[in-house]
Amino acid sequence: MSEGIEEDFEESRLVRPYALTGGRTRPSEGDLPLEALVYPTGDAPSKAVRGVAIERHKILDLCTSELLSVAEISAKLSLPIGVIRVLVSDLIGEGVVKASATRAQTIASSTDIRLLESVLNGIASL
Amino acid sequence: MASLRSDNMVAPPSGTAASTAPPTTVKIVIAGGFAVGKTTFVSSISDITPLTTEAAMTSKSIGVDNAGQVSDRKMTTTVAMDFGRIALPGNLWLYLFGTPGQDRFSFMWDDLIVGSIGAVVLVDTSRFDDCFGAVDYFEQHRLPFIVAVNCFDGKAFHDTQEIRQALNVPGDTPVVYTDARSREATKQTLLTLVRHSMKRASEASVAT
Repeated sequence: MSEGIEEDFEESRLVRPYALTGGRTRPSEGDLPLEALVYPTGDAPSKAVRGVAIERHKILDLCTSELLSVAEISAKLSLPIGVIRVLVSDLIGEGVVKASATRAQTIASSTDIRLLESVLNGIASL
Repeated sequence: MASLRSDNMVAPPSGTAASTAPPTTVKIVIAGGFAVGKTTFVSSISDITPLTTEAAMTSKSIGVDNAGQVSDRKMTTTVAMDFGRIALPGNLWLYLFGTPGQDRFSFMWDDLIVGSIGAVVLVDTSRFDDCFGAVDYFEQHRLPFIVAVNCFDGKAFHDTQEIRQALNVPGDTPVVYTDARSREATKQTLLTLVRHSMKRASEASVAT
């Protein structure tokens, strides 16, 4: 399917679920790491958001009941990562949820020797 | 909000200081061809039953391939990605993300390598070509990786030197045998990778 897409066309409609994001494929809050944990701040979500209210609610319900990453939310809701990123970013923007790490933080931590050492010791202790 | 389960609440209530910070998350990429044992590898050590998600093409990835090779302009829309999670002491959560190893899936790697500790390239010696793409890509993007030869039935049919040559991996890149079904073997494989990543990170910090 999806052949002949313009290369720099930001709002390509490759996957139908992107209808849920109003065609947006880029999150409003920058790229969320796949492994960033999403947790509620306790603030109520803004009332009616056209079209995606159900999905937003499902996300909020999920991450209220359990600590989950962006990837896990995507898997549990059977929606592509990109869609979840956009929806979660919106919720972050509204102050309803927070993400445990930003892209920049994960990049920095991936070469943090002390963190790597903790990971090493942690795996060794399994 | 009928389905809230307060016994499992993880986030602090609004307005109070976070008494328990959420875990620090880290991730490792597990790349390899179809049926090489990625999901088995992840399951052998994951705390959760591996989950599957779809990684979709993003417009960003189209046409910005580094290699300049035309390869597949015809992009499939989504690719399944299996992943698992392991809680480690010290409030750490390690995620393992499985991804196909062929070139045409490199759009997934663009996302996966960001903030990743490194990658395990899982190899089936009867189908080397399934992982050439991943090896080249990780090398070009300077992501620390190791090659782990999955020995079905515990048999290795090639020595690591042959594998190293066949895949043309740099001399300091570890090439090890593993058994994706074995938790202990998976653990050792991950340890090899993290040690390699630490070595790379310390070299980089000396260089700067």
